[in-house]
Amino acid sequence: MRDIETNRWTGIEGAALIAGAAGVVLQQPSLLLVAGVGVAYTAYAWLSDAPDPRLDVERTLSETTPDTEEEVRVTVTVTNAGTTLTDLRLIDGVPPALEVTDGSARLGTALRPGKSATFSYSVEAVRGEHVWEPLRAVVRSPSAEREHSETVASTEETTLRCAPSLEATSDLPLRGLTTQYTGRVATDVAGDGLEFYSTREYRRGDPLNRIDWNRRARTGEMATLEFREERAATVVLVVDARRESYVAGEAGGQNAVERSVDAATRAFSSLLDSGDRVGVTALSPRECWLAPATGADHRTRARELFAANPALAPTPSDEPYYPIVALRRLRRRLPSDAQVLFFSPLADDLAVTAARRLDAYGHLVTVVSPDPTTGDTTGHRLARVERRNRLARLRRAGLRVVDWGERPLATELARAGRRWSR
Amino acid sequence: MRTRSLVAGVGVAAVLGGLAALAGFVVPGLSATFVFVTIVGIVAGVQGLRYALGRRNVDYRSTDTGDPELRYRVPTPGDDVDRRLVGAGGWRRTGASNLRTRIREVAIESLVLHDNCSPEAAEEHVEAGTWTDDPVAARYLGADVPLSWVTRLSLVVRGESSTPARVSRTVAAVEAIHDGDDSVTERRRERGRDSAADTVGEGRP
Repeated sequence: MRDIETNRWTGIEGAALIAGAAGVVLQQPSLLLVAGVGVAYTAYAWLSDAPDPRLDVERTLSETTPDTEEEVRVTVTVTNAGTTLTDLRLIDGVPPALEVTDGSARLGTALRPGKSATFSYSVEAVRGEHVWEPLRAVVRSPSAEREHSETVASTEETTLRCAPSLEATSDLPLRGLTTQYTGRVATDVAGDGLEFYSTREYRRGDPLNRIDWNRRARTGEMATLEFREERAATVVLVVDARRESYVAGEAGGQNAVERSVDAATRAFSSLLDSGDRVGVTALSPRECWLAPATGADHRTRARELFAANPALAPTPSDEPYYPIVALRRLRRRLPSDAQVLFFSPLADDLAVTAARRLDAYGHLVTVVSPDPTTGDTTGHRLARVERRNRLARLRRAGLRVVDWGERPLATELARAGRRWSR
Repeated sequence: MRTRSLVAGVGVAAVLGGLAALAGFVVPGLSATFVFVTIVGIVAGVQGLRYALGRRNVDYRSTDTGDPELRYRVPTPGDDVDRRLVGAGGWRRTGASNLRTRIREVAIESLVLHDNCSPEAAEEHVEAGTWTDDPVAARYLGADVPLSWVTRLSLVVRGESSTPARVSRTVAAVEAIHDGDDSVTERRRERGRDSAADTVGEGRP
């Protein structure tokens, strides 16, 4: 709540006094009359006060759980439960991650006691849980000399919840660290599988269909064929959601954390579909941990996490973050056979350190990096060069890096997959 | 505070006296002579002028409501550099030297990662200015590369002698390390060797 003077009538008392003085000195009664008008205006400005508004706010959404990019109509009805408000300005508290696409989230009106005013606008839904902030009401006195501003919460909290659809992307090229379960990651272990790997001496009990009959016919020796075992992997998706990672190439566009989470949801789906155990966590001051698992329940839990976990929110948190402690904690939590898919714009050196450290502890790391840099100004160009150096540093250290620019993630993954299989 | 209440008391007494005189009571020391009324008028005029002139230093004020209908704006990497270049006009010493160190490190790292230099060799290249063809960029990172007076003059005339312009050229030179297919330092070294051979050749009788 705040009261301010708008200074619209400052100096009116001076005008009244000058007119009065001129009337007295020049002995002109008409000028004295003008001074009287000035005094009346001064009193009008000084004595009228901005009323304390008592408002009831009701906000309704056309859809409370929309899909991403769906338009949601917001209707706000404000009822005056107090005195007459001659000059009322209303500004709705649209959540920071949402943008108004149609209509206006503001209204200027006058309201008599008991009357209501309604305004509506549309927002485009983006992933996450978005809570409306209180509406701001600015009331002015009739003369507009005094202004009173306060926030009014709606009768019920308005929440828009937008869960990602968990669409799968093309197959993610995983690295060779696997579990003992059958899956799709080709390993360097001889056993059951599809791709020929080696032959070995026949041992009693080997199945007939695995015996190398050609060799037997040629040399008379018994040998057994072995195939490359295909196993499932345990993958933990780590989203870099530190404050430094909330960067974007264009103002108002998707920021790097939103793109990272988008990529993580797709990766989650496609990995789960191929039988891998997938977990989710974030480098963020807020808690976020979903232990690797499989199954339909796990999918539901992940969808919930991607939609509503504050660590993955589209706007950064102001809480302090201690990267060294957080990394140590993450390392303790990671299963020893877990690979890491690290989603980060690599906007600072700490992201590189985190990736390299995880890789050094034996969790083979693949970095998927949405590119937030542009080349329009000197500073942006310098930051782009710095980021390219970070990518190069990671590649030198033996990590796999997908530099995700403007093209769809599937395209970039396919390109990277070709490069890695060479 | 005491003077204010004193002045307010005098004011209230004067108003009451005036009202009493208006109602027909005889107030000692108050007579509506021409001189007295004129003096009161002039005092009121001066005071009125003071109030009216006070308006000149006053701005309209209103509640800042922000832009809740826009999305939360996040920065673009490199905004800090741009702010520093624009805000300080490129003249603040500490900011400029920090930026220079940062670009120098980026240049050295770029040479190491993209030009197959060892860190020591990269540092030597930057020190000697042999990492780029652009003398302005080389000089900005501290190399003692000759720059003719004609070039300097043309830079000043074209307005490219300011720090932001020099930083821009230096960043462009670092970008060239990334973009170039062949090694920048190797090429320059070869060219340096050729030109040295030419000079020797010309020097012979």
